[in-house]
Amino acid sequence: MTTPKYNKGLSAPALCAIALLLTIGLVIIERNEREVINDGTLIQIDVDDGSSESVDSGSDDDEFDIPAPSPEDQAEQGDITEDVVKETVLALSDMDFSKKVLWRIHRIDPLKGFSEGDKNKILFKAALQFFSNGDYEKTHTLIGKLPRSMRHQERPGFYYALALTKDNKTERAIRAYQGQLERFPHHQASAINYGLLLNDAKEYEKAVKAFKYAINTTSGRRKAKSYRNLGEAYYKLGKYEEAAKRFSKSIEYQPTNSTTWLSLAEAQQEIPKFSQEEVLETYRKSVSLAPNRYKPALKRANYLFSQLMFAKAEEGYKEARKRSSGIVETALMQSINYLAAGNLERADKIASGIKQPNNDEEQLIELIKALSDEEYDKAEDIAKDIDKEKKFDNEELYQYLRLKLAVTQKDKKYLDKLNKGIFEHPVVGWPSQLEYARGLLLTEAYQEAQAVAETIAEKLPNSAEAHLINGQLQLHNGEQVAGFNSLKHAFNIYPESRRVAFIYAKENFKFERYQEAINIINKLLENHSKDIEALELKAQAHHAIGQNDLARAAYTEAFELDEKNLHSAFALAKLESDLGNKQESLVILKDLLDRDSSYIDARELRAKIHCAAREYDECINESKKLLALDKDNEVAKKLVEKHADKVDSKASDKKSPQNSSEDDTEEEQPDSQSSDKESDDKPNSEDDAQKPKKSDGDKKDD
Amino acid sequence: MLKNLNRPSVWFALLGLTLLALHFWWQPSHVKQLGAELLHRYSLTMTFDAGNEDIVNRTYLPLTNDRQEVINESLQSGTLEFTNDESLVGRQGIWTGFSTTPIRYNAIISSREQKYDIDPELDIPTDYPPHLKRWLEPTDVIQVNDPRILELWMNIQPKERKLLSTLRAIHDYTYNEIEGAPFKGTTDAITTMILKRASCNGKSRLFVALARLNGIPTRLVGGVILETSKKKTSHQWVEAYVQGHWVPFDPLNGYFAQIPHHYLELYIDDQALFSHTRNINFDYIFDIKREHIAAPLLRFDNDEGAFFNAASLLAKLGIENKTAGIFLLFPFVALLISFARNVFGIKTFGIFMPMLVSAACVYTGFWMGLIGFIGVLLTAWLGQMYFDKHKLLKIPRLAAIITLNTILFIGIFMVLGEQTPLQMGMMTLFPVVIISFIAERLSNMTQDNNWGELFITSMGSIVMITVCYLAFSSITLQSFFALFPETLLLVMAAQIFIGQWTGLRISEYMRFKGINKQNNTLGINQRNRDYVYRLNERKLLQLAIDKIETKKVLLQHGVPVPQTLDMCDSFRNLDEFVEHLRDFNSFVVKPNRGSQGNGILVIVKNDEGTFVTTSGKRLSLVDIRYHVSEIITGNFAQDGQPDTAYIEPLLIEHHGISKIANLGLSDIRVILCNQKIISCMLRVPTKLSDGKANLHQGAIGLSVDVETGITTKCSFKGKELKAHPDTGYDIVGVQVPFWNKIKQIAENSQKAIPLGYIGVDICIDEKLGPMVLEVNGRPGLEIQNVQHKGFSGEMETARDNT
Repeated sequence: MTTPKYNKGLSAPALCAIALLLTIGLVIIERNEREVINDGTLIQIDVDDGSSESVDSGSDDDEFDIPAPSPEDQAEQGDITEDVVKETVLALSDMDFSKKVLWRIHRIDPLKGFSEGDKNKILFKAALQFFSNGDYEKTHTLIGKLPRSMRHQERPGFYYALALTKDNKTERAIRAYQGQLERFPHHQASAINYGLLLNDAKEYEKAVKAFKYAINTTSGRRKAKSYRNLGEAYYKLGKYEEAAKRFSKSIEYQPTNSTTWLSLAEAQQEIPKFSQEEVLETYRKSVSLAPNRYKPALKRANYLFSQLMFAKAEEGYKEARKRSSGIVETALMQSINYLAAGNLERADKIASGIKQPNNDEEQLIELIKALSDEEYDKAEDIAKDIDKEKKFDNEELYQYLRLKLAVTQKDKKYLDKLNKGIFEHPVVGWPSQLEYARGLLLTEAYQEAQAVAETIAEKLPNSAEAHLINGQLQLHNGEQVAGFNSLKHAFNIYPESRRVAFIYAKENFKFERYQEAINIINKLLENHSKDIEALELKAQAHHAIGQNDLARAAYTEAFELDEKNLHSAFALAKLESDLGNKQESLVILKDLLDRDSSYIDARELRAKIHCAAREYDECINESKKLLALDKDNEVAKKLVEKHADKVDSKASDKKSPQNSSEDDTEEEQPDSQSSDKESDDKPNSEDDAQKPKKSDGDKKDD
Repeated sequence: MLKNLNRPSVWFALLGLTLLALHFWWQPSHVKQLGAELLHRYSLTMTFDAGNEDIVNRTYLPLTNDRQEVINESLQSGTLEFTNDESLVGRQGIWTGFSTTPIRYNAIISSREQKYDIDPELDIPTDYPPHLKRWLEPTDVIQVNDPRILELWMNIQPKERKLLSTLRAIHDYTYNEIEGAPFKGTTDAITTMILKRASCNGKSRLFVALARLNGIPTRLVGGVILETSKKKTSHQWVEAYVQGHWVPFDPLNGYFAQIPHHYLELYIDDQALFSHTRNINFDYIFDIKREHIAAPLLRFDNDEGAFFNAASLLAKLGIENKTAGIFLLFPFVALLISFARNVFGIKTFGIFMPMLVSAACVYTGFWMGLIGFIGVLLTAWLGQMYFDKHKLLKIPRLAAIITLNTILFIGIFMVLGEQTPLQMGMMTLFPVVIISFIAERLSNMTQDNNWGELFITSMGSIVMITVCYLAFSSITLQSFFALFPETLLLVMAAQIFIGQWTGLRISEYMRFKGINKQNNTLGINQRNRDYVYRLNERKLLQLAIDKIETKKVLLQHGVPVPQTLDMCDSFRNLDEFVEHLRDFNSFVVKPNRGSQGNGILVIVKNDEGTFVTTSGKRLSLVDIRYHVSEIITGNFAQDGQPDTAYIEPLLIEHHGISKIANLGLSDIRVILCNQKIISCMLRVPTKLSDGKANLHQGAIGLSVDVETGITTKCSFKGKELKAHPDTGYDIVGVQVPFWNKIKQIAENSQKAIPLGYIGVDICIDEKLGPMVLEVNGRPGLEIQNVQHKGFSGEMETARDNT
């Protein structure tokens, strides 16, 4: 090696010099940084921000912010006339200048004779013209061609970014805004638009930062807007607490903005801290602030629907319909709500009235119609069709309706393999669970059903529906006290509901708590005085505790309410005959058969009464008429058999064909089977008949 | 050039720079975050004398809003139950229960200035939403409807009744016309108006009264002005409602539509800041410190997709931001220390001790830390002296010194009392122990009367502590290392570079300034890296340290060495060994692995059981026994491990040398590199060196011509002499006897112990001739000064020739 003799490389003084330089550099930087006092903010309060306290104009949707041009911009026109600009626009709109360099564009005719700077100004004005014509691509191409000194001014920079945004050039727009904000950190409109762009581009984390920045630079309505959109970004990120905080803040600055209230309600809905009342109050605020907008009303109604408050939701949907008239979304939800509440007629009517649905909606409407017309086979077919679709717009609504169909059909298989994901859905989640519980009830999976029902009742303590199903199930599972408590709770929450009251009364009746049943029905009748079913139940209850006069009165009332309601008359006749008032019974039966001569049960009863009274002629006569109507009628055959030979009567109180099924009046009853039973069977047969009733009853009312 | 690339430092530097460049390119926003942030450490202490009763105590605590941010809150409430009551007014802390300990609330506050620019065209609105109506109502102390207020307004109202001009008129009146006065208690608006003097709350109330009179919703705001101080004063100012903004005004300090950065807002409206149970002797104090802190140590969440912030990792572990900053800077400060040592040649007590002490200083404050350091050092030193007198063994002595320091600290705490910041505790934790060890070296130096070196080392330590402290408290460095941790690669590159750098240290420029003209001087760095590490095997270096073993090996190769009379390696043999000493008339007791002649006891005469040393001191057998036990304990060993003591016969100086120096045994140091004699010198003891032939301790160095063995130059303490300073003998031009034999012995020694770079110490006995006393694997470089000639070139040639 031929290395030099000594100390190659850097010597210590050199190293020290380097170190010294570094140190000096460091000290300078350090000094600068030490002087830092945290950045202050300057907030401008301008006259045109004043509308923050005025009534909501309705134009508060999150449109991009386009500030009005300031007077200086107009003033410094010089010799640039409107005509020149117009001509330039004309010249430019005919040519494809995207590939041309600036000086080529400068050569177009209208620009001749102007200085370089003026040419650029005219071109910018032309770009603005393009912008207002909606030709965003031309706008940003043209501004992009301008020299940097022009392009990087406040207004050109702003419109460049805005045009890019509107032209969906998100990447470039983001960069343009970043540059713009670096150059003009206090340009309020840019700050807000940048955030909105990021929100649109689903870059919510960045949007959060952008809006935080915007909040510091903006004032008045823009500040409110920044806060609101910051909230939206947080909402999208799933940070509901943060979002709610920001919405409240926005409301502070602009308390009359319905959109903000609506967003706040939606955020509150996600936060367990807020009670149903608070959320509803927020919704109410939003609805009342914007009297012409349907969105808040619809969202509020959807919320009510999701909370199983179908009756209130009904009102809400009506309001939403009033505001939105033709919008399919609203009507669709309204009909579904009717369906959920069991009001099939209205559901059908609304569904039929929907205009201009798209394909998917069309199918849904068909399904609703089928369900409300109780044409379940048809509904199945439609469901199958929908199942075939790869992508369905209102998937969750369909899922809900499909579940409903399965429940009515007692389709155990469907329930077993039900995709429980739907339970998480914000709108149809709880209603689906409710249906599921009903389905389980119908398919006799009581324990499981109760588990579901209990969760619903626990989570939605304000829903009568929830307590109702829970109570029914508890009773089924033998928890009498808890069951009646739940039912009572449901009744207390919503005493006006016929359905709740009726089921409550009926359960009471079933468990032989007749007096309670009567009390409840009395209350029910205060609201629904024309409820025949209730009256009949009341009569039965009275009868059960021996208050026959009251029972009679109730039956009579029921009959008088509706002349066509022969069943009540029949029940009355039966009651009379049981009481031994043969004549009265026969009078009623006669009247009854005059109205409907084919009322088999009535004829049977008449035959029996005659037989019991040993008026065998009438008896045989009646039986024959019966056989003429229905030649397989066992009762008639028996009677004929027995009394044809004119033997002693035996069958005076042999049977009590208690026709328990109020609904299936026209159907034949296989009475011969029950004829062997004793009259104690009444509650049992009642019970058997009730099972299908429950599902029917569900549809009647809320 | 290519050769340069083949170095680890270059690789690390390239890697670090690449990463850094990528980082800059990828996350340009990080550069903006490097800055400092102005913060206030806000602490509120509330004391009370609860007696035996339960107490209730309320006060407003700061909360985070648009303008101010509360970071790292902490609360000590003792046994009191604390509830946090947040309302529109503010955030009230409520303490209930029984306790005797004070309540302490600490928080870091970051706040900003806020200015409002109100359009002068703005009119005063005629109506406001209902929730603002309350800010227009009169109260007991804000008498809006009093006719005197109206009268006042008539006099001061502006020409044009716009919002801004109205506020301006009110502000100007309350700021300029009302004299500021440190009133205590509540002053209402009317009183303020009449007296024309008021404190902040009177001025504010008058402001509010006038503003409400004009239909501008206005409210009082209470808070604290943040500035480094301990105080009891709170502050009150005003906010007026303008178009959805509450615009601040301070009529006391003249802030119009502006709130300065150091105002901390606590509550809104006319509230009492403190309320508590009566008669509990309540007292409070705000203790506020303003400081700058590196923003990246504090804020981790506001960087968009940052891929790294080292401080955030530490914060996740619950490490306080100050500690995190120190932790991140350890490598850099270690680099500074290695730079100071290897490039500057600054001497300190303990190598990394300054780093630890300065880290402690960050917590205690610089002066406090430095005084603490000196105090600890002084205590340790005094303790060392005291315990030394009582002949304590080494390890118990150190233990006792640590105890002494602990007592000192408890004493300090007792004197300072409650005001001591908690962080003072950090001071006791790590540096104390280390400093106690340093005390050992300190006392050695004083024993050797090496005051000059002691001073230099102390100054070096203080300088390094200062430098390290400055580095630790640098915001730029903290934020840089937090956000750009890849810089550590650069630090490592620099450290490796220094490790490979073999230039002369700055201190060596001074040391060899007389001879460096030829640019041929060998420095410590080069000696270690190019010779010791490269040529000398570790095993052999160990052997060279062990003198008894060395002598055995040398003897085997026929190199003459002094006879080993006896040795003792444990306390078991101690008594026997000492008894044996009685048999000798004169002898030398040596530690086996000693260095620099430390621990060598020379007995020239055995006077009936009393032993006389060279300097004439008389020692008893017990004294000698103590000395031997110290040797065995390892007090003189290079590594502090238990050692062996051995005795050699006292050598009689050859007359050829004793004629120039008779104060002790001189020796000849021969430096060899690969069998080539590079340089040699004769070391002659002086009074100053206490009979030891050690240049550091004040012996004379005589350069000896390698060829002839004639002394040529004499150097004593860096100066050139002609004669012996004590005896006055002419010492230049003396022929060293047996010169050729000496050279022979030196070469043979290197053959026996094949260290490539070796120093052989040879002395010449009157009767026995030249003998090797010891060999040295790391011979010093002072010989160059003695020779007035560097030998870097010669060494290199010798090294490369094999």
